[in-house]
Amino acid sequence: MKQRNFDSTPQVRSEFLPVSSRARSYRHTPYSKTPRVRNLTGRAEETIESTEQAASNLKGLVNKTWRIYKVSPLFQFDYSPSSLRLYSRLLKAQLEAKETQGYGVMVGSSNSIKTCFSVYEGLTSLKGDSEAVEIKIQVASKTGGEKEVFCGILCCVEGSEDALDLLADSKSFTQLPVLLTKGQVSFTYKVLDFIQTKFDCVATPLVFTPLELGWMISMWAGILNEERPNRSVQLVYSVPLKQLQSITYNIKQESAHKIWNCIHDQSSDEMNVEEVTAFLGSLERHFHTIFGIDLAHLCLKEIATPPAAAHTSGKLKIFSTAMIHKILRHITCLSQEALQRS
Amino acid sequence: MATITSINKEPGVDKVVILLIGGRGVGKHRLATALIQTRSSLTVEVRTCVKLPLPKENEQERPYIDLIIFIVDMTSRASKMILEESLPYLMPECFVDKVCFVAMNSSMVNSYSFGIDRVIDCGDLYGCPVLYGDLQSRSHLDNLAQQIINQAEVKAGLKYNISSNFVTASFHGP
Repeated sequence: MKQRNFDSTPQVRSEFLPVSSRARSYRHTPYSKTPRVRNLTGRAEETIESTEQAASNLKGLVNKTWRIYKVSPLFQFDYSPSSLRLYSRLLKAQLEAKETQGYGVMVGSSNSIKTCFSVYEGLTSLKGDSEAVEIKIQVASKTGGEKEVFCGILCCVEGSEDALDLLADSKSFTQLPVLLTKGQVSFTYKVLDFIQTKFDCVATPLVFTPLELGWMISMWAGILNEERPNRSVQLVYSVPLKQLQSITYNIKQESAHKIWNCIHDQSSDEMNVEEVTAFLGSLERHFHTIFGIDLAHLCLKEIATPPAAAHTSGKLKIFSTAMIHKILRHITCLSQEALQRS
Repeated sequence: MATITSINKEPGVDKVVILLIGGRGVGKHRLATALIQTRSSLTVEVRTCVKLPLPKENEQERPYIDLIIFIVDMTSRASKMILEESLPYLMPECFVDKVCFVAMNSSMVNSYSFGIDRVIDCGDLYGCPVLYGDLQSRSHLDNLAQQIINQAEVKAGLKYNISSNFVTASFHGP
């Protein structure tokens, strides 16, 4: 009796089913198909000339834990310096208004808030991408000088144009589906409120399911990071017991690289779902032979690879400047898929 | 290696035997308790197993199985692998009216370890219904149990002029 592998069979079998029954199950469910193939390198046609500002901007993204939000297209967002100054003033006014109403958490006079909207260079790699925008909020601290309490970056790296074509008046919409935020939670909520009311969009947290984490670890575990050779590939599983909350599984970079080379065809640009299953399956089988615990029954909570680390609640930390575009491209892709699903 | 067929045993009168197949920790016993407690004019007997094929030893003592339910936990990849390994051990005639797939923990969308479209594709491939269940809340479990008992009642012949084949055929209509 042959074992059927459901990762690949339905694509073949569905040719033989009558059209009505093939479409039947998808007519009434809100679910779309999960992708079976993912592109590893992306569509960047030419290398971007990097200015010094862009290079330092990229360095500013690295080694920080970002919380990711997915944002629907922004309506009537203008990049001109006067509009950006206007948005900064509006945000500052809204923060001050909230403080007088009693929602604020800051102690001090309202003159101490400084907000700034600016264009963040270095994050676009395709011609059709919108420039990234940085939002900064600084508060005067007691010791003098300013403390940055919030930093948010709206960006789009190789976003697909299909989403924008669906909108009737696509010229007034700006596609910036990823918002990376770092800072106090209260400020994050206020900035989200501001963006949603001003630009008529929806911003929700982007959550990584264990399936997505599996894709990330399979795509990036094989990449050696010369800047940090001591970083290991790490998988954290959550265990539903009181005594043992989680299992952390560390693998050396070189070993992970060897396994990845065996599984993934080096010349190909794309990664299949079978390669993901094979990679995770081999790691789990190894763990099972040594410890007797079958990790496939547990839920993957957090992963760390040489270029990046991700947590299921939507937190991302990037370690390598060279891989920033590829990682953000993947995040943009996930964000757009999630927006299209909802 | 004992495969399940529908030919070699006799069904009971006003009694239905449901076989729950699923990996460990998927919720078979909780579902079984809910099935037994559901109000029905049938006598419901529930049996559970982890995977097919069933061992050969007690082949004679096993009753005729009316309904086979494959349970998959959306948060664990192992349960999907168990499903894939068990399906070849079922004779083709069982898929016409006996099999049903249940996706457990389907409300925990943020913890899905595989896409739900795999389960839907599975249901499409075999022409069997897919039900969605949740272990967290009592009412969801009771709802799922009621849906399974409805199917069992049709299979046992309690619904006048309706058979399982009729129900399956009406799915594939235009």
